[in-house]
Amino acid sequence: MLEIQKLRVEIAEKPILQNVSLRVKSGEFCCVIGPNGSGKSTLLRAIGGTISPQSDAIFWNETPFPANIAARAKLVATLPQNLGGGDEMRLEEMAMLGRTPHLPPFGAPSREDENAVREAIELCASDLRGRVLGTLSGGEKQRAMLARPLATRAPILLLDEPVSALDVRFQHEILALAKRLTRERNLATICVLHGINLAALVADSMLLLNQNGAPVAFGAPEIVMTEANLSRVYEVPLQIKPHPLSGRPQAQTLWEV
Amino acid sequence: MVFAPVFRRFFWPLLVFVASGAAIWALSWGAPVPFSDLFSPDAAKSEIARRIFLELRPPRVFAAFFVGASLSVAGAALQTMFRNPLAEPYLLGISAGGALGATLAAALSLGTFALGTVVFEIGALWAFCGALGAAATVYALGKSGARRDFLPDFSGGAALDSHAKLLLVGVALSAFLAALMSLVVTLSGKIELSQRVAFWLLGGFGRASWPQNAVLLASFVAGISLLLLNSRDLNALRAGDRDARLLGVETRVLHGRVLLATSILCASSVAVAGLIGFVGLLAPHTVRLLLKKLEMNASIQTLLPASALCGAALLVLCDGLARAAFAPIEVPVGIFTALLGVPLFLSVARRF
Repeated sequence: MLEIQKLRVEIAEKPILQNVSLRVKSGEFCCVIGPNGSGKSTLLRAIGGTISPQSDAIFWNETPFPANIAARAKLVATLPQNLGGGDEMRLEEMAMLGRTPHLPPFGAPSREDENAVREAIELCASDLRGRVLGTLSGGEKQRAMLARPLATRAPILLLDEPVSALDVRFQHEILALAKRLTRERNLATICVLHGINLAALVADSMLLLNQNGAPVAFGAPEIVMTEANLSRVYEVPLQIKPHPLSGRPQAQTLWEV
Repeated sequence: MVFAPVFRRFFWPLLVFVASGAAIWALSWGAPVPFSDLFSPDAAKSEIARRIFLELRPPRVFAAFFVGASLSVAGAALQTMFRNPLAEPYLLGISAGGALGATLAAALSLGTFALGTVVFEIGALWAFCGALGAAATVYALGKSGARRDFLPDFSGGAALDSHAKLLLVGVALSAFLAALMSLVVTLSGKIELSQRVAFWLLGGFGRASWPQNAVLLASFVAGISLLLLNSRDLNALRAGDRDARLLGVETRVLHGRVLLATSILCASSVAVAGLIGFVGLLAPHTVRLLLKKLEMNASIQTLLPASALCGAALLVLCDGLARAAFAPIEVPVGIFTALLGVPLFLSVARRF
């Protein structure tokens, strides 16, 4: 179980996250929502270790997170919003980068590394084998990129707005895949999503952050998605109606145009 | 390419063949004396052949071979670290830093020149300090996001102008270091030194000698080993600094090691042959193009040794041309590398 207790992050002496507490069990899909600038991505970076590690606030199975980022990378795998580079790489090569925390310094992959990469590609992008990443469409690329964190075989998966640039079909495809993998491989998944209704549809649990990076509500979608919570945080009048098919809470605005 | 899987097998044999072929050919090219004269019954003839083939040309070809290899490996490593296809020791001012260090050593007469090996090693050490200083400067000023990495921007896209910024810093630094070098020469009042510096600025292998070559070889082995021992992390760096950190790579430490390795490689090259530009651009890009055509992965473990072989062949051939093209006048080798390198630079620059 991933547990965060009163996490606080300051960047250049400006508080970005305050008092964030969170529990995600293995096999649970947790969505983080909140307005722009509420520190959703910063939360992922604090867990992933790319900003000053708050090792005393984050626990995995009741032991504090390692401060060493190589050790942490074995525990946490992140799917960033977009690729930082490497468009010239083939899918297999990019997926092998997910094995970085396990490889020896010289970089020769073992049989286990090869297997992990093959399995990761099989799970999420078996039709894209041998393709160069720069030649893929947006949806294909997002699926291909998922192979890298999966190849790490880390027990915690972080997804940073994995569907923000995709159309409905790919949104559905990627989120369904992420949920299925979370269940099948027993991952503790934290997913930052911009669309609150999309989050309410897929999440097992949700965390709502406000403009100041403080938590407003945490729990099942029905607990978080209330008119009072959302209207206060997003500063727009919102009404909650159950989704006609799944019954999940959905926020609706009335457009006065 | 349909035949890529077939040709892939010939990648390493081809590179080894080209590099060794270039070296053998360069040994034979120059004054019209055939190899067979070595075994001529005529004592005078065989004496001339012996001097040419055993004393004059081998150190020179050896120097060109390993300077080409060193500069190409340094170029490939810098391109990976700065994530800039135009990064190269000469263009970033790292070679100029090495040259300034070597000039200072000569101007301050740190050791006497007659002592051979020992003196030279001191010069190379100073060149190393100069190169390391220049590399650290160009990193601190030109690496975009070196400090901003910790700000909350998870998108990770590199700023568009960062490629240009790095090169501008490099050009400015080169000019600054060249000015300092001229100043040192002027103030030292040594005529012999000004000749040496003029030679360094143009670049050439006329002064190659075995003691220098020993330092060159040792530096090459040290530099490429340091890089290859970090090839796992360097490969992760190809996906960007942020992604490398997500994968558990201490990027700052890695950057430091790359700066150290490239400084070692550049310093010994500069000490032997002066400022030779564009080899570090030509060889890695040729190798990358070849890898792309053969549908092979451009991983660090492939790119660095292949660039070394390619750069060695290239510089040996350029030096052969420099000796023979306008014989008996010897043209500085830097002219040929620039003639080949600048068009490549411009074509790569146009795409970015």
